Formats: sequence, C-alpha cells, structure tokens
Amino acid sequence: MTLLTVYLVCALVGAIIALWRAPAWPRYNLLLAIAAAPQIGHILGIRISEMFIVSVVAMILWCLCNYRIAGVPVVASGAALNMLAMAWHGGAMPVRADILADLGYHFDAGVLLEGSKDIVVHGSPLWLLSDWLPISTDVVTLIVSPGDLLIVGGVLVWLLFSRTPESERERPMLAFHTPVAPSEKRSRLTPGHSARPALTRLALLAAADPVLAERLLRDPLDAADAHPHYRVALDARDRATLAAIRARARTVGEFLGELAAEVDGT
Amino acid sequence: MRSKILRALAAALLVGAIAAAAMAPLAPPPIRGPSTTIANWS
Repeated sequence: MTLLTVYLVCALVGAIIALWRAPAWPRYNLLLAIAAAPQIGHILGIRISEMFIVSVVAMILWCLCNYRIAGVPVVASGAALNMLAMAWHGGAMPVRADILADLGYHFDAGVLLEGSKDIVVHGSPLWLLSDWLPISTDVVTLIVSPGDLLIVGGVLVWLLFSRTPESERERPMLAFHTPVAPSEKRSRLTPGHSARPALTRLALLAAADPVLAERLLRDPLDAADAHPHYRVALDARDRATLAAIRARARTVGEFLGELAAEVDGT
Repeated sequence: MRSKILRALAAALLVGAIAAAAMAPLAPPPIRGPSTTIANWS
C-alpha cells in the first residue's frame, strides 16, 4: 500500500501546483485510466501478464495524442524506459537482489514483491532501466528507476510550463485576470512622432490584431516579417529590441506594454 | 474559486493516473516477505 500512498502524494502535489497555475489539458485521458487499471491491479496482486500489453498500447496512444503539450514527450520517454524493462521481465519491473540486500531486504531472484510492480532479479541486460536508484528519507525508502525520474520531471514540466497564450484565450475566466495593459498601453502610442517608425507600425498592427500580438509573443521576428498584409521592415536595432522584449514579457499584455514603452521612448 | 478546485481535482486525477500507469518505483518498508513466488524470469 506504500506505493499507492506514493501515487496519492504525487496526485496531491499535482493538485497543489494546478491550484497555483493552470496547465494545458491533455486529451483522451480515458486512455490513461485504461493504462493505469492493469498496473493498479498488479500492485493489488491481480497479475495478468497480457494486461500489460493493454497498458503499453493505451499509454502509447495517450502520449501520441498529446505529444504537443510541454512535458508529455518527457513523460513518454520515461514510460518507454520503464515499460521496456518491464516487458523484458514479463510485465514486472526488475529490481536487483543486491540493491535490496544493501537496504536490508533479502529476497531470492524470481520473487514478486508484495504491493509493488517489482520482481527480484540477480541481474538483467536492462538493469540500467530497472529500479536501482535508492531514495531514503525518514518517512519512506523508495527505489526508483531512471524512467520514474523522467516521468516526474515531465509531469512537473507539464504542470508548470505547459500553459500557453492560446490556452489562456480558451479560458475566459482566466483571461479576465489578464492585466488591462494592452488598452492602456495602446493609448500611449503616438504614431508619427516616434523615433522607431517600424516598431510603431508593428505595435499598432499588434494592438489591432490579437492574433498577431500572440504570434509576436511567441516569435516576434518571424511574425513581424511574415505579416500577411503589411510588411514591416525591421532594422538590426529593432530586432534586438524585439528580442529583448520577448525575453522579458510573459503575456501578450506585457509584450504590448513593453513595445509601447519602446515606441514612446519611455 | 470553484473552477480552481475543479482544476486541482482534474490535475490530481491526471497525475495519479500517469503515476499509476507509467511509474514503477519500489517502496519496500514493510518487510513481511514475498506474497508470491514465481518461476525465475532472469
């Protein structure tokens, strides 16, 4: 049951981070439930080797459906490493007997460990992918695999960095919290009097077109060069300014505000 | 506030499902011995 507690703690940490900031939401999450069910059954002692294939297929499909979301490719890499090692050992994760012995647990090879997905082995061609990294705390001792670490990293990337301007736009309740900077800064633009005419033109185009503003936030140089109707000729100084603004700004509002400040020379 | 709670709940379910489906750590504390012994796979 310790392992289920570990999963619950992971879920709790995920919930806390999601309270703070909204991640992009993956699709087809029923596939995850299908992938998880046989694995939970394995932990509870219901071991059906064939069901491991169901887990693998469902996990692969979920990753393919969501590979564009930040963090999912990392999760997919970790899952692939784990599942490769598990597939080699009939659906159970190998853990070396000598590593267990170092921690004070003595088992013979071939033993399936209660409340886990693990099988004790003397050695494995894929031992580098197996559970061999002990993490000891006062509360619990965990032996994890490189794949587990990748999955944790991928989930953190997903929770912390997957939010995009597009996902904000899809959520009006969140967009409500966007600062009113765009309209405020827009009023500060003074076309015709700026020492930066190209940036002025770009700022006015961006202020008039939210889609262009979002493209500018993602890749300002490309978006400025590739406007469908109005060509904006940027010189090297303009490009450097745009790159610097892009590095500082996290939202469209911040980007337009910074751009307006540059145009007005403030 | 309600949307945040729903968001947290959904994230918890997703993270829990990912962990259960793909992660395979070993948490050995209760030394009660194996419950099942099967043929040697290695």
